[in-house]
Amino acid sequence: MSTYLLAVLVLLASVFVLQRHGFSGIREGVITSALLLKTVGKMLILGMALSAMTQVILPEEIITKWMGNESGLTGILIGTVVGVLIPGGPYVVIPLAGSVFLSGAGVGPVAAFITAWNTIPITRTVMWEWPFLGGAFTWSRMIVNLPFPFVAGFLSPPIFNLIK
Amino acid sequence: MRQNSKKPWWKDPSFLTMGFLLTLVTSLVLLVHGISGVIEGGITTFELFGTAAPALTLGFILAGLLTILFPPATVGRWMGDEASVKGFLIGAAAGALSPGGPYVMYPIAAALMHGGAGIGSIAAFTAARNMFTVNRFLVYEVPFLGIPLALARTFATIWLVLVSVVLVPIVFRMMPRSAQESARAKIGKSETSDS
Repeated sequence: MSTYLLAVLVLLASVFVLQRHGFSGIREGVITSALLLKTVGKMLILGMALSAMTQVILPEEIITKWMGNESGLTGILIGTVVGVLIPGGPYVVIPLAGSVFLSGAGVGPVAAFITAWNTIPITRTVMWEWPFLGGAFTWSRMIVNLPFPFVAGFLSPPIFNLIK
Repeated sequence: MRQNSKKPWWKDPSFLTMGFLLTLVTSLVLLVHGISGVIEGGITTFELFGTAAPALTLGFILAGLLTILFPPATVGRWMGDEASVKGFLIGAAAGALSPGGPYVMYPIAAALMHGGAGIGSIAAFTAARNMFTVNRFLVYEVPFLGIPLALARTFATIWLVLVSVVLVPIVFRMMPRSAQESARAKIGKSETSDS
């Protein structure tokens, strides 16, 4: 379904670009896309390989025990710590989260993992946020965002059960 | 983006870390499951790629087109000095729509702060960018996590954008005055050197 939705969005965006910038806009857009693919392509392949290998190596019973639906706060805490520490973009982290979920991890720990990576990641904060936005803003944002993975970990499972 | 792609792979810490992690995990697979485990991992990699390839291709094209429609400088002008509900809403919308990685996001945020945008607007932009982006949701979360999990996590966290908009400026004002000033000075330098 997401593929069809994306196709519609690409079509809409192309029409707008064509209207405003003509064919040169489309050409520039395609060049930007190709540059983006060139930048993250190799990381994307590494990320998928890493998530596939993780799926093979991590026994389901261990994931279920430590990060399963019954793992409670421990699972959410493990998810949060891994999310804070893991480097890389969505092309690495989301496939990895998906494979851990398929191997028996619960909704709460996986949601905490992704949210921690989104909001309080060490690598991105030190490499990008601090140099660009300065310590005062970075610290303020980190302090406010600190509980967010736990909020995600506790709120996602009931919403997931409603949607499912 | 271009700046990032110029860096050779052997100097890219993310690539080196990922390469190291993959080597480590693959060695473990080889030790525990032998060559058949590695083959199984390889097949799973291709299956993952096959599942995600159509969405990924379209997502990359969409990201490129969005960059043309919403260039960072224009987004910055929209938010400008609006320290109001409108500024927050534009900040959050810009965060949700803006494509690209941190190399796109942080220069935009720095340009906004340097241009005089309120801390609340910048908090809205970064929070929306962290919590939910259209591109990440459609290209990565839905194909790899499935719609129920992707939606559940999004609904559970989307309101936290509002929490950030309210609380980050309050905590920012509690920071020592010198830290606030030096943050703004640093932002000016980053923006100048990046552009």
